[in-house]
Amino acid sequence: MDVSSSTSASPGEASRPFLRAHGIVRRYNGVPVLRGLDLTADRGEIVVVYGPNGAGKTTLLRILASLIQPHEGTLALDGEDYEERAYIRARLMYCGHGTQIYEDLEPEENLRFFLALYGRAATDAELKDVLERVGLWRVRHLRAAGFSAGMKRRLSFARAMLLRPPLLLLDEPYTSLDAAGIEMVNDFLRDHAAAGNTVVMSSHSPELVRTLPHRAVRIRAGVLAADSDSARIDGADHVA
Amino acid sequence: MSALPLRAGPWEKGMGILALVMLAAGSFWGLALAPHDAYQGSVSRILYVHVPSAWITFLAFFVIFVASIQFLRTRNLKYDTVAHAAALSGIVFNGLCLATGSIWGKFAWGTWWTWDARLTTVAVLFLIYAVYLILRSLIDDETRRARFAAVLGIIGFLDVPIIHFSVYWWRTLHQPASLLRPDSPRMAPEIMYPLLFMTVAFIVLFVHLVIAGRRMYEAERSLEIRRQEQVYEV
Amino acid sequence: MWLKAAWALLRKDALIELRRRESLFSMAAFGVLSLLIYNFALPLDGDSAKEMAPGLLWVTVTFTAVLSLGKAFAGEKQNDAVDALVASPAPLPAIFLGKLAANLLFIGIIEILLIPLFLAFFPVATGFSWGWLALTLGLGTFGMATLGTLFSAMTVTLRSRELIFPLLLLPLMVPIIIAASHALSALIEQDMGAVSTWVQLLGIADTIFFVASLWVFEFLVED
Repeated sequence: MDVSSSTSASPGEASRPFLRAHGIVRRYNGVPVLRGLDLTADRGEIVVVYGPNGAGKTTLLRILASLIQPHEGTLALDGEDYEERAYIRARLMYCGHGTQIYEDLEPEENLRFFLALYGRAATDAELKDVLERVGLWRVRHLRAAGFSAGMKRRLSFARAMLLRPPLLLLDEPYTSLDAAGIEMVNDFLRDHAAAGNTVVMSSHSPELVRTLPHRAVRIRAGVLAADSDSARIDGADHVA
Repeated sequence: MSALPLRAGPWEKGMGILALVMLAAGSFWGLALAPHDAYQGSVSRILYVHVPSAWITFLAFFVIFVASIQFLRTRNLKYDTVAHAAALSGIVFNGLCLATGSIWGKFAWGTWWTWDARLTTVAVLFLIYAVYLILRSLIDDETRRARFAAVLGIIGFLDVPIIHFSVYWWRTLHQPASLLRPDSPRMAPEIMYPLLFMTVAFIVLFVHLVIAGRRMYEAERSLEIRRQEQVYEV
Repeated sequence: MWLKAAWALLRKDALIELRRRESLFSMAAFGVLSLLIYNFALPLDGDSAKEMAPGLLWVTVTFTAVLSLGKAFAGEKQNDAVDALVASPAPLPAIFLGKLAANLLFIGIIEILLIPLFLAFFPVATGFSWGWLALTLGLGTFGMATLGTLFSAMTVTLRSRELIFPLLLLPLMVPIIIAASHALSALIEQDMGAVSTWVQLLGIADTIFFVASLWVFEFLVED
């Protein structure tokens, strides 16, 4: 299955948001964390979700990733309801606080295994290219167990660079990255969105995303507060 | 915020009173009126507790099974409280069944424990009930607790007939079956009717306990939610 | 897609085991140790050995397997790798199948290692059919691994999971322990009627556990 094919949107679809979450309620032991949250994201858009610790950023991203179900509310991706698990999951990728890396596998093995879950494979040239981009080419024959936290985070990102998912969900993606790593991530995200893909990420630092064309939203009391410092990129024009 | 369910509803009260009356009447019938077993004497009257509690042991498993499937289908926590209350009552009846079986065994066969097929099955079920309750106690998040408990409730129920047959064949393939019959093959009606009556009384008691247990869990949950909401000042 | 994902998981787990050699070595050591301890602690000469051997073999296999089954999902929990599995388009039953296949592979290797040792320690008549032995062991192992994989996925997120895992697994696999050890007994005594009864029971139990596990697995990993 070629997941990247859906990134070429037809003009008629431009009016409909690519990702649509409506009235999302999620409780933890009966206490609501999200209380009827609405969120939409267009193709080619980067949405950054802010909010204090415990505001529900991770819960929201995990709901968007189909890892947990909302207690109330509806979700749709590309016009398809989240009930259509296979369709949804072929189009999204989620990277949480954990890097999802297997410590006893080498970088290439990690990447190949991840792609296999999506029914995809990568050529040696593609793997070399992406490992060079994330700066792990010279350690390609080492197990990830010996990597620093930042190197694991880079390897985690390399998966997204290979998969190029139409919906990329990132929870605090800059964790443990150095300045060059942050630059690398931002370059990739800019490029990824410009190709018509959607990114939803959480962050607590406006500094780090400043160079990125994005729309900022804030979770307050379980709903999205009004968008702030909008710097929307005109996604529809950039669709490849 | 909804009110705390501190008072028993009409069903809970009604079932409780009915259970009390039926248990008293059934006990009188079984202990005083019904004739005792020709061979075992008055000891056999323990059957009026032993057999109904065995039935409830299985019935509670079935209730957990149905409630677990309903929870997984609907994600409504109401079904999870039913399963939890049924497990808590079920393990009590299960323990009662084991204890009475053991006492009976002491008088009938001169030993506190025998690897009788049905008694062994009930003992394994006791372990599964215990693990079910232990598992619940280990999980803080209520939806995860409900999901995991439901999975165990379903697998556990499907296991019941498999356990029964494995234990039964284990006891019969090598030994003559005559040893395995604590009760006579054909039951006299004077014994059977009070037994049926007591079984119904136990079922009524079980229903009462499940309703009461559900109310208890819901009260606990409401209290916990109130406490948390005060902490977060929302 | 189904088999591809399951195959990828099996390959991945086999590769990791090949690197770490952790489970297999500790399982093998534990199995051999148990056999030795039985010899020290129990009067295993002559007829008593013949009677106890099948049960002891199953006890050894069970406890050895519990050792590795309990950790089957630990590698997926590290770095939250399980999130990537669940959020991927790979069907969840296929993921269960892949993990089950890996567990079967590891336990199978240990069994192949333990059985010759066992026959050396417990001299029982070996006039039985090896095909039936393989079938009995295979069915028993399949049922145990199915339940073990399921409960491993359940307990990996729990506190004190090393304690709760055997508590969950052992009562539920009572029928498998009974059927598999008595099938072995009957096999050694060449009582083929009893063997087929127990094999049938194992087959039915395996089918029920397997189908149910494929269905309920998603409720363990998806919230």
